[in-house]
Amino acid sequence: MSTEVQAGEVMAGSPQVHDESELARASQVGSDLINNVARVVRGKPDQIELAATVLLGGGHLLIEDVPGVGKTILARALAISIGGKFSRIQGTPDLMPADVTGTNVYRRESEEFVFHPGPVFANVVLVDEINRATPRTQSALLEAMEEGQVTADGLGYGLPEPFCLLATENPVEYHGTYPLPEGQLDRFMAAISIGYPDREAEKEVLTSQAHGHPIEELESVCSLEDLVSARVAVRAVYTAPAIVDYVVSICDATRRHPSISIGASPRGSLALLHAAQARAIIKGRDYVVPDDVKVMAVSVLGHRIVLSQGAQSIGAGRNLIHQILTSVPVPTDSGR
Amino acid sequence: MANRLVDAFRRVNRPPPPEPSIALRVAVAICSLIPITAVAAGDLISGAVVWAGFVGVPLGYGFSWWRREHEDWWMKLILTFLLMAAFGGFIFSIVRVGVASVSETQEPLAALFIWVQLLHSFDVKGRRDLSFSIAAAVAMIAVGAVVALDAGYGIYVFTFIPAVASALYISRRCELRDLAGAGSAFASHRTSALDPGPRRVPQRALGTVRSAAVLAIIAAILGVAIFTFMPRMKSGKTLNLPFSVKAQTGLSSGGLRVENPGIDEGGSGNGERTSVNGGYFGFANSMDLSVRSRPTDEIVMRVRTDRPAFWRGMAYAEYTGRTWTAEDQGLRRIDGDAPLNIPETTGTIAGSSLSEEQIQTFYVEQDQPNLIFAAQYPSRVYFPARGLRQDSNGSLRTPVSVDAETVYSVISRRPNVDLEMLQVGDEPPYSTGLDPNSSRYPQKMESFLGVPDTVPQRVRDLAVSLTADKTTTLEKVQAVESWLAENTEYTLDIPPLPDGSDAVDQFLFVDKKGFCEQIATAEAILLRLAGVPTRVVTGYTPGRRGVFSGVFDVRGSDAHAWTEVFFPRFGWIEMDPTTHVPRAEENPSRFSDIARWAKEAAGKLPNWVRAPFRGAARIAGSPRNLAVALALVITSVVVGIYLVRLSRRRRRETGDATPNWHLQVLGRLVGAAEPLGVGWHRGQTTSEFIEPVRAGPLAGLPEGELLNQIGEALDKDLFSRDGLDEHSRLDTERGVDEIVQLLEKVAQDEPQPV
Repeated sequence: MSTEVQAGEVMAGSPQVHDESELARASQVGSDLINNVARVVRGKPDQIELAATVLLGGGHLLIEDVPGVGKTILARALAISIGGKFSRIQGTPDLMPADVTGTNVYRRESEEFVFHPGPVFANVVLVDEINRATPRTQSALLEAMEEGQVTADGLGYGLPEPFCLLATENPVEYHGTYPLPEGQLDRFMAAISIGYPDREAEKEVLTSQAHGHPIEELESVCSLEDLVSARVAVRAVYTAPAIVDYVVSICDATRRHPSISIGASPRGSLALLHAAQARAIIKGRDYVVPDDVKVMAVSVLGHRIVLSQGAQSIGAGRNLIHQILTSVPVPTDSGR
Repeated sequence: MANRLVDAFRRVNRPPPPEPSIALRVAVAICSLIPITAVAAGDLISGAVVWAGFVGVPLGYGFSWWRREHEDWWMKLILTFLLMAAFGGFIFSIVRVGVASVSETQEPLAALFIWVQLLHSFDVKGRRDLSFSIAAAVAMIAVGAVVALDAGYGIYVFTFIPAVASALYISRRCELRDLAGAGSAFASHRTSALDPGPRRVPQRALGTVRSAAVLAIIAAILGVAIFTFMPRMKSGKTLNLPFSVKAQTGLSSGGLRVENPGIDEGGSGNGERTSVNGGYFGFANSMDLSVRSRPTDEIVMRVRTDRPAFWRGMAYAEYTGRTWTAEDQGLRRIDGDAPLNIPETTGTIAGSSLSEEQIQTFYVEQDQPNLIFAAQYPSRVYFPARGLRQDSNGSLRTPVSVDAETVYSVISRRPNVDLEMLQVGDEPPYSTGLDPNSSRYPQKMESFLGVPDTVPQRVRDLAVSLTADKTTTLEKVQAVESWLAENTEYTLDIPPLPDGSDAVDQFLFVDKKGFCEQIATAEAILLRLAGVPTRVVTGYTPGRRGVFSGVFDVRGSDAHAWTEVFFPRFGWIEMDPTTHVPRAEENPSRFSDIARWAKEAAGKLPNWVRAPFRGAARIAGSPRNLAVALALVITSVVVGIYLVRLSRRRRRETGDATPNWHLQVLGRLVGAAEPLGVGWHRGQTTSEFIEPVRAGPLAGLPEGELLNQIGEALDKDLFSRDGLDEHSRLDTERGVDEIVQLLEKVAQDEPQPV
């Protein structure tokens, strides 16, 4: 599955004939996912919604936070809910690209090399602590994420569809980490943080896990086909010309902001638009409103910008995006 | 209800935000100047007031623009004082002159309106003040229409309409600009307060009906109140009726003779008379029945009065067989300045029960003979000359020429006698002064019975046979008139009178066709032969009353001759035998057929269809009028377009967003929420604005859900594929009404911002 979509298609206002029932089904898939994940991840409805939105929007998700707040649980719950093939890769400095993509193995019986697919050949791939893997391994993942295929010994192998990569990273530990390069960060549709639960949610977590983890009992709530058709429906969500204009204005503002040295790329604008479409579906609408764009912009753009001064962090980027969002005028005209 | 009234009053009295748009001010200034021009054209107002308006109003608008950001309480004080003074002047001038009818308040009212416009122009800071100016201008255009003399006034109306339209359009754009601007002000992190001024979105359908009904009721109540409490003056007070002060050319005869500029008397002295510019031969010292003339169709004068009447000019008593001769000996001098009281003449009705007053003002459009045309029995004349001459038949001659643009007024005491009263008979009681035994009874009554010997016997026989069995005057008149109606025909196209023949005989027995002169003469002579005193008078028929102006337009072709019959009980009563005489077939020609057909077809159209065409034809009739009208209309359209474009360009330059329904509705909500401390800025989405309102002022109220739905509807209108349908928009507006009212109530209960 590729995140690549012809830009012209979207600009023309998604000309696909949209079907009422398809929209309802896609919306149902979204809410099922959210409800299912919420059974195991307590007190974080916004983050769950963001994660589900990215999944529906056809993107990859980066979860960045301190250890122990449930990053991995969130990613696992999402993967289990989808019900496709799930695999997990633990990022370590000695992880080789071939450990991820798979290798050619010589079979004596047939006297030939047979490709042995690695863990990346799954519908949902969880890459835990991705910034602990070496740049070489990271770039192997990069190809998988962007092109939906891996290359081994000069031969390309297509990844299953849908393909979704969930990565977690730990911002506190800097020893032995290889920070993700901008190019790779850009390939994640959104980056979210989970944050500590509030007191009530934390108490709930403690009581619910008294007799084993609830994720053990989690079952899938939608089929792969459901997810694929939901993703198609997302692309059909109507984006008014004013919305496209709004998206471009926000991204443009990141490029002009004095505290930002590198703003959001056009890939960023595209990702923002798709994310907004996915949120519209989850909210049960067949059209994007500025709220969709605004809510998704922080997660979609926060990790894409490079600050010109001060410590580079996703948190600082998000603050700047917040600032920009209050200054860019929300469209008050449809532009039709 | 009372609360809401007080609240509305407070809202109205809140000073409006200053209006920066120059285009709007220019447009409104033009709107104010057009009615001033229109009223000035009515020629009622003194030039000083008009010029004060012309100079003062633009000055005032300039001043208001310059000081628009300032409070200027001293200016308000001065203006209030001056306004009171103007109003006092208005009341004073009404009381001083004494007003007998509504129409006489026109002049002071028009002047008052000019003053109001002028003074108000110095204090138009906000858009609301400017809209008051437009309203005042509309009222003034109406005043001008009342004052107007003819349909040419349409020029001003047609100029005014585009001017007002563009002013209203620009005003609306400015209002929407403010709406959009309120947001951009926030976006640029300024803390200026949102304008809570008039931002009510006009409600469709029901709302319109409701406000129209309220307005109608208010207008009705006010109207009744005004008419109930307005002081009404009794008639008969000294009136100051309009007459021109223009110096006329003195006449050599000093008013002893009738001099008609429409007749060339023939310098050679051979008595050959020719008509100049279609002048009527009936306005002279004698009326020659052998002369044929066709007066023109041009307007010769206009008469402002409340009802139609024959405008009597000349009276003839002596008939010679071919000519009627007026008295030119022993004319009575009436000296003094206007107004002149006119003494009674032979057979004038006295006593108010038998007469009624009619006030007339004549606006002379073409040079006239030196006669005072007026309804029968003029009693008071306002004419710009010292002294008049009066003959014993009551016609008035002026010592000066009556040129075009002369204005004079006459109060007549017309006989208030109807057919029923005439039927009573000729026995006493006689009206005062008409008793044959009284010393005041006209001694010369036999001169109204004189019939020359040249009148053939068959005429005399006819008179006797018609009236043999008739006893009363009225019966005789009716007998003669019905015989004329049955046996003669009306036409302007009759052969010349042969030498030596009697005009009456020729008409009754030879031609059997004639026009008003022949018909009136025949009636007069037949009645004289039956022993009824008569005389023939000439003048004008009432003319056609202007649809808008209410003024009678008298044309050259309205010149007419009719009969005055002496009734012993009542005196001289006007009789028009011509109306009873049927029209003769005109010479048939193909073109006249077409013309007649067209005329008949046009006659079948309802009056309101024909009126504008007539007005247009009248304007188009004069190339100068047409050119002026076209130039004015084109200029005002061009200026209007220019102003609209100017305001658009300025808006583009300031980069304001194009406002729409979404913004209007949002603007109302913002305006209502603002006093409660919930603001809105351009960087906020609808829900981001709505959420604090729900959590704040509306916390715990069920209307929070409604507000949410409004927010969703607003977004759906803008961003969904098809937008919001009209029905949903209406629903949303209704919801907004509810929310705004609720918010206003919350704001009232809790005056301090949260």
